[in-house]
Parts: sequence; structure tokens; C-alpha cells
Amino acid sequence: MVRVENLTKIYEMENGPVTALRGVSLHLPAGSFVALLGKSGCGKTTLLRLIAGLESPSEGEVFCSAPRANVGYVFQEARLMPWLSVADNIRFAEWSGRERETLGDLEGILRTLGLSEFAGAFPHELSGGMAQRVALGRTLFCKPHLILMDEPFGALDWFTRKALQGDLLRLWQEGGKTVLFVTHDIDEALLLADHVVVLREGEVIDRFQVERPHPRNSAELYSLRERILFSIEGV
Amino acid sequence: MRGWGRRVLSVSGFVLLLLLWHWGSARPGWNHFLFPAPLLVLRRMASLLSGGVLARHLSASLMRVFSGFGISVLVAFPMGIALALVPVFSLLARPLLNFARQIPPLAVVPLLILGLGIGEASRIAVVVMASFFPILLNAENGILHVDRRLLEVGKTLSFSRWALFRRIAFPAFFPYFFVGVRLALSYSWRSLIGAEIVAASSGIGYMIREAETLSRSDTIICGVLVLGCVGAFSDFLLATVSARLFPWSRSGEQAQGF
Repeated sequence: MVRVENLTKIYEMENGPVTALRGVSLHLPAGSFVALLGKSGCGKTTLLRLIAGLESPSEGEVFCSAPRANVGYVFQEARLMPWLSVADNIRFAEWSGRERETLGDLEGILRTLGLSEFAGAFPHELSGGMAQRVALGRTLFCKPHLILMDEPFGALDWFTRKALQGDLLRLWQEGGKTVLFVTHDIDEALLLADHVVVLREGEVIDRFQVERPHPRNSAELYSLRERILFSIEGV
Repeated sequence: MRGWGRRVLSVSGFVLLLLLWHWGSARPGWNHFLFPAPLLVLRRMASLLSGGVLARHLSASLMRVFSGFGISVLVAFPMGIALALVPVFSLLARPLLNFARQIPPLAVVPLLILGLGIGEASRIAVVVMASFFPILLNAENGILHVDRRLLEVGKTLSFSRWALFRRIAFPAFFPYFFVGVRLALSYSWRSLIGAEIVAASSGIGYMIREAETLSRSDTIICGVLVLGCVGAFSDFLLATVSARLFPWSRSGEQAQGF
């Protein structure tokens, strides 16, 4: 689905160049759920933005078998259009000029994400969790084959995060989607992903496979959690 | 506080002032030449209204305000966008515009009369000068403050450049622009009355100046009250429109709190 080869990103700052990614190579098989794990500033978001085409790499290349229109992106903040209702935010991609058949079913998405009662509400009337659900709905409306998610639940409370993790897992298990999920929460990565990639200082340090079936119990994954933690810390 | 309580409180200041005025005018030592009793002013207002004098002057002022204001919107709107988006134009025009906006419109009235004559053109030009800059600066700010993060959403949804502008930049920009429009309308009124006091043969400003030469302070107060009412009403209309169109924006919130 996605292959990243020798990706390097250098930002030219006032104090000189800053290397955000150095020689990252990665492969995301179709249908996989990969978590990108690492401390703040390790290059996770940069990698995601390069894959999404929001930025250009300094070196290396991104190969994606899905057309650009089939790549969805969920940002850390909901980034909803404040002048549009929930329903209009979800079907925002209609203005991208795609064929109607290539887009999703609005009613179905509203139902799946528990937003049917809020279809006419505006973003300033929503809680953080609701807004993030709408952002997820907006991405799902494009029927993406690849979903890039940048710490989408990072700003939410524990209960809302759990609920949305459940929603996401259910949607992924329905099949047909590859997910690249950026997080700094090891438990979240272990709960959701079937592959965990650890980034440190702009480099891929380790890769782990999580073979446990869903739903997972964090106690069962204790030893893997410890190994990932050591890998992130570099000890 | 909401609903009726809020409304009652917002008009109670006016009522209190009116009562104080009425009470003061009945006391010995009150300067009736400068501040006639409210009932006398009311009577004068009724005669100005029934004789059609007020309507004639008000329509002349309104015509000038809306002509000048309309010209400003038409010129300042595209110019503000160009300032934000075209660096060469910004470099070229900004120093000139910064210089020009420091000049009070009334300071150039004599020059305008020399150049455009004593007709409507010079008075409309004063309104244009007063209302131009709030629209220009808010149009520029509106473009500069479009949330880049929202534009990125459009990019991830494969929007064309036109769709990015039409569906994201333009709606995000409009509340800022509207704040400029509100300010500009208010400035238009202020400057027009100055211009009419200096050189005009009709309009509320002219009516006030004529009243001064005839020592009719009741007419002057009528003119001032009309100015306040028309200005407040037009701002209220724009604020209501703003609150309806942009309920999410700061300008919308301010408008709701009007």
C-alpha cells in the first residue's frame, strides 16, 4: 500500500538546518494497522505529512498504491469548518470534484459515529470528542483506502478516547483500510495496531509485531510494552 | 443575563439620562438656551418631521454616506486582497497607504472643494476617504488570518486551488471583512457630518450648522439625536446580519452582545 524509501526531511530554520527525519524506510502492507510511536519531536508527524503530500521530502521517495484521493488524513485537532454544520463538514469532500459514487453514505457515517442527532449542529456547539468524531467522519466519507492519523485522540479525555478507539478498530476490522496511526501512547498503540514502528530522533529504531487478537488486554502485552518502552528510551 | 432583562437594562441608561434632563430642566439655573427641555426638543422634532425638513436633510446625508461607502467597498475590497496576496503591490502601495490613512479626511476638504467643486462629489470623496481604510485593512487582515490548518484539510481532500479559495479561504475571511464594513459605516457618518458642516446646502450637518447661526439649540439637539439613532440603527442592522451569517466568529459574538 505505502512504501517509504530513505526519506529525509531537513527544515531550514533561522538557527541553521534541523533534520526532522533521516533516511526513514517503511513498508505498510495493504490492510495493516501500523502505529508510529515515539517521543515528541521524533519526526512522527513529519513522516505522516510527507506521506500525505502536505510537505516535500528533502531526500527519498514515497510510493503509494492508492490514488491521492483515496488517502484520508485525521489531524490532531478536529479542524472543522466553523461555518458548516456537522453534516456539511462530513460531506465536505463533495467540493473536491470527485464523482458522487466514489464518496460515502452520509447517513450511514452519522449513524456509525453516533452523530445522527447532531447533524445540524455547528462545531462551536460540539465537545472535543464529538468534533473529533466529525473529523473522522469527514475522512471516512471519502472512502479512503489509506487513513493517516496524527495523534487524533491525544487531546481527548480517557472515556472519549476509549470510545473513539473502539469506533476506529471496528471500522478497520470491517476491512479495506490501511491505517497509519501516530501516537506517543504505548498502550494506545498496543491496543489498536498490528505493527508498531518506533521512531527516535528522526530514525526508525525498531519494529514490533502485535500478534494478539482483539479485544486486547493490556496486562497480556506487558512484556512487549516494556520492550517498546526500552526502545523509545534507548536503553 | 438574557432576554427581556438584558433589553430592559440596555435601554435603562437612555431612560435615566432623559429623566435627569427633564428633572434638571425644571430646576432654577438650568441653561435653557443651551439645553432646552426634552419636551421642547420633542416638539421641535415633530415640527421638523411634519414639515419634511428632517426627511430632506436625512435623505441627502444618507445618499452621500451610501454612495461613498459603496465606492469604498468596491475599491478597498480587491485592493485589500491584493495587499495580502501580491508582495510587489504590498511593497509599492503600503507606505503610500500608511501615509494617506494618517490624514484626517476633513483636512483635505478645502483641496477637494478646489478640485471637485462645492457639489456632491467633494462630500462623497470625504466619505470615501473615511471608510476606505477600515475596509482595506480588514480585507487584508482577513486574508492573512485565514487559518492555514483549515487550508491543509482542503489539500488532504484533494481540493483544487479554486475550491480552496471558494470553500475555505473566502468563508474564513468574510467575518474579518465584515468587521471592517461595520467600522467603515460608522466612520462614514462621522466624516460626512464634518464635511456637511464645512460645505453643504443640505444634509444633517448642514441643518446643524444652520441651526447654530440661528441659535436654535433645539434643532441642533434634534440633529444630534437623529445622527445617533441612524448610526446606531445601521450598526445594529450590520451586527444582526453578522451574528446571523457568522455565529462562530468573534465579530458574530460581539454582534450578538450588541
